[in-house]
Amino acid sequence: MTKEETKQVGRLFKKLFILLVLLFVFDRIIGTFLENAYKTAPQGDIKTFTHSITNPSEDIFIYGSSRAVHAYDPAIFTDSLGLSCFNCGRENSNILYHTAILKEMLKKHTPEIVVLDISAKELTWRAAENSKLVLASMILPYVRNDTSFKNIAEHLFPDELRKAEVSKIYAYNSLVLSLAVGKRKIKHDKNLNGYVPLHGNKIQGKLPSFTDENDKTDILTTQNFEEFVRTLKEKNIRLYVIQSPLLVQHFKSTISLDTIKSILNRYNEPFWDYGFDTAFAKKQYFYDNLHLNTTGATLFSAKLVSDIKADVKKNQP
Amino acid sequence: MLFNSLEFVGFFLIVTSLFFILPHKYRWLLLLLSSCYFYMAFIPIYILVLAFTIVVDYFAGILIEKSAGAKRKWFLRMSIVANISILSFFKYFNFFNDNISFLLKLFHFTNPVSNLSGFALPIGLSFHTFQAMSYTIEVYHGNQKAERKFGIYALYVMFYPQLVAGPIERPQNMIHQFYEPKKFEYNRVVAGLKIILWGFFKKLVIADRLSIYVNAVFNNPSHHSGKTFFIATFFFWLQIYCDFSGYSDIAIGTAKVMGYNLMENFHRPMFGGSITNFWNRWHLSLYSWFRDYVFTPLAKTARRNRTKLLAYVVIVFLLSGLWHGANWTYVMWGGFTGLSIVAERIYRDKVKPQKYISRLWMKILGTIITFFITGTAGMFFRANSVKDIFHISKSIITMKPGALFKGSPPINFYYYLLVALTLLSVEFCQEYLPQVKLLNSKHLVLRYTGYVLILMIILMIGVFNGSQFIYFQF
Repeated sequence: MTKEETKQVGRLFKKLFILLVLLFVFDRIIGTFLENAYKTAPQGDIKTFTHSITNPSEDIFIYGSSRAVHAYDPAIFTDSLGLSCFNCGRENSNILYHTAILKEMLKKHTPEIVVLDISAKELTWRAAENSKLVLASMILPYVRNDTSFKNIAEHLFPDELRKAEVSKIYAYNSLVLSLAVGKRKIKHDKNLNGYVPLHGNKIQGKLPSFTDENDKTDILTTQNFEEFVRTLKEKNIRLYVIQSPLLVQHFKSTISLDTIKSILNRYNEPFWDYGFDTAFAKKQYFYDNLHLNTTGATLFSAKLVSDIKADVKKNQP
Repeated sequence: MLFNSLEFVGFFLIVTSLFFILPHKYRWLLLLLSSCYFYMAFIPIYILVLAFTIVVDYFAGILIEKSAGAKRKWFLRMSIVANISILSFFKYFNFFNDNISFLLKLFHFTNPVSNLSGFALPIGLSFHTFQAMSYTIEVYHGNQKAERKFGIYALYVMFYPQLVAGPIERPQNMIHQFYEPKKFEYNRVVAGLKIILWGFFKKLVIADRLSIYVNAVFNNPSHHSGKTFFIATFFFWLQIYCDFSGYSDIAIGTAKVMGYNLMENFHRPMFGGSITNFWNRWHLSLYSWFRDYVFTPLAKTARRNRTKLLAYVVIVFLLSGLWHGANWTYVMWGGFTGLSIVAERIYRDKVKPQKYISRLWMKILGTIITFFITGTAGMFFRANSVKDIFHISKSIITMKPGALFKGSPPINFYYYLLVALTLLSVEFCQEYLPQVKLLNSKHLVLRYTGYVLILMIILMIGVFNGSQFIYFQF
């Protein structure tokens, strides 16, 4: 390298250094602003998540994917069972997500009943990958201060954790709009306790077929499911694992469902399958083929509550 | 090794630093070894496939140059056959075999040849095969001297910035550059870094963000409405553009930092104003390859026969479809694109719209129509099967009722709109308001605002799931 070139390299490093300092300053300023918005005015999914891990107090907790979010109305549980209830379901999540928040919740509170809504592809690799992304978006804001979340992140998405440790705003990746508009647009009404009703119906044409031909269960996800069941069993918390109604072509079982049933059998826990319950097999109860609308959710919640009531009665000493 | 990975950042810093530290005479070796490492980060064994192509074309080049007449042509043909054979074996064998099986089944016969299993497609095979072929063809035409230094020729095929997804270079543009001593020039290095930064923005913020929506819709075609498919088609158009041009930008920028100039691969195709101009601005290195090595020789045989010329346009695009992948969806895409160019040509010649419409309106309407036509072609490209193409087309044409899918959670839809709008605005300014500059502004404050803004947006809404560039599969 000539002297002139060395001089130019020095110039580049100087400019890069200035850029890095600017980046650091803006990262911390905007990051602090986002952190504040996240903690003080959480809305929608963030609100549900924050409630589940920071101040859980309800007697019944419902876990599951979007099928849980739209199908279980906590008000019906409370009215019928006389127990407070919260729906902490999350779109695109699976058992990886539920296990992480269950463990965090149990540090602060012990509910009486846990309802877990599972999907027919609950334990598959794809479901796990989506769930990891959802979980990452929810727990990265906590990893700087919460060791247990940091451990989960280290285990499930170490690369994301590194980035969040370096950049403060990265922890809020993809949450910026929710935080910016969240103050004005409330998706999760306070009274609905995590339940998001869907109105109307958009089903057209023939029922879609369902296949899991090429699916394999993901080992880590399966272990998490077992951990979820075992943790509740050890704490003597009643668990109901449910498949809520679907409106697709009938299928008998899937590799995920078979694995789930065998684990539940081992722990002597119930699996209630409403997937193709004829009482709900009507288009007017569904928003789309996988999600109940508000009419369907009301009926289904009432039916489930009545079954839980009967089960509790049956098992009373 | 993916450009959008932390490994690449480390690799780039190390290779570039060593490049400038080492004396000029060792730089080709550094680049060759680092290119081998870069390629072997995918599937190491496939370096042998690449090595075979390099050895064959290296000797073919020398033999072509040394011989004359029929022998010269024979060596060229042998080299092309060797290249096409490798491409066919890895890329098309199963496709053709499946179709033969299907045809035999119609006549109640069984295909005795089974599909090849256990072979993954070597990454970027179509790109480096075409680049290698352009070398022997140019030597044959006398436009390039056969390269005697094996390492330099190997580097021409393997130069890591453009090895796996182009731009597909020509020997006249590249080989002499490897002999030229490169100095560290501040302005050039910064210009290269800016191109890389914009490439990352396009990939991480626009392409990968939109891919979330596009995948959710195209992978579940039975669940969506006409308007959802329409929006997803529009988003896919932007996604593939940003994915591929983002890759090209990173490649061009990376090479530029070290002092090498790669050819431009995209020139704001959405503002071409006509279908023909669109393809003169999209994937320039591939379509100039097809133009120079397939269309022009065919056109010479057509002797100004218009019908033949137009038929050759369709043939070139059908071949281009097959180049993209061994699937009927790509062939349909190629056929549709070729026919749309032919239709536009005929319309312009017969109707002569320029007589009735002002240039401005021609440009505006041309841009909108081109957008719809190339968007439709994009849908053919993205659909998972021919059956899906028909289903999606029908859903859009009949505007199949149903709610607009906004993604999960629905607020994500606004990210998609935001990034789409950002791209359109930036490209509009670059095309029509070149005086509006941010990263290249003369004002220091504006320039730094641009850097910080882009980096902040990447951190805030970039998608960091390490997804592969779409064109890697070709």
